[in-house]
Amino acid sequence: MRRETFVAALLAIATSQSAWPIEPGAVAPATAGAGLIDGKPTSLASLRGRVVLLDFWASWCGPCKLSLPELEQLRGELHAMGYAQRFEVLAVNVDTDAKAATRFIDRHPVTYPLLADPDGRLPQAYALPTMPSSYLIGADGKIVEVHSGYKPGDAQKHLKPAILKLLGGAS
Amino acid sequence: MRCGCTIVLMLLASACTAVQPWQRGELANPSMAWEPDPLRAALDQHTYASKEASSGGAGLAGGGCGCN
Repeated sequence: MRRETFVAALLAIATSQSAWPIEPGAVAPATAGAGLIDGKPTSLASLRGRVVLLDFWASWCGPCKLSLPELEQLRGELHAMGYAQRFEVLAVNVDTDAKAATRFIDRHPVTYPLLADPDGRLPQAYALPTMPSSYLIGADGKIVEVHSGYKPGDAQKHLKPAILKLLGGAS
Repeated sequence: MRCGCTIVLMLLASACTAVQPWQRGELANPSMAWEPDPLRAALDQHTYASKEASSGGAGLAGGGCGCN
């Protein structure tokens, strides 16, 4: 083996550990696992045909105390507008301690499906830029928008208009 | 060339790794904070700035939740 090839191979190995963030337009990676509360299999594939807001959260994430209740309210509003069969929120919890996650849900209850990923397999697949992050996924399974971080009112100011645009409703 | 190979091998052998955003649970624990009592820290900094006519340099980056 030539020396240059050897060095190039080493560099390729060295840089292979860093994943590229998922960009809008890409097909959402396979997202499946056990439900956080009931342990039942939960997946993004089962929601194909609907617009999905995929939200990554953790009990230790401060902004998640805001985002979960606000996403729950947004989901309720959209379902009340008649989009129950066309829109869903799917939340992925990345806590290594399931008890901490369930305690958080006791304090901030939500009715949308919760998926547990204690090994961090899914955030790695998405190359999550920050905590929390959410991905707006179209009915065709392609990512439309990536929302990094969460500030008060983001659900109404940024996410709702983008979701309504996808659903074909007025924002 | 040998030097280049050595540098690349050293980089590969490094034990340092980036903590990913979803792996910061332990770092986000209040007991891991540089200043567990922010109010006390602010008062100390105020006293320090008054006595020394300078401020800053009291913390380090890298701890905490790293959210947003």
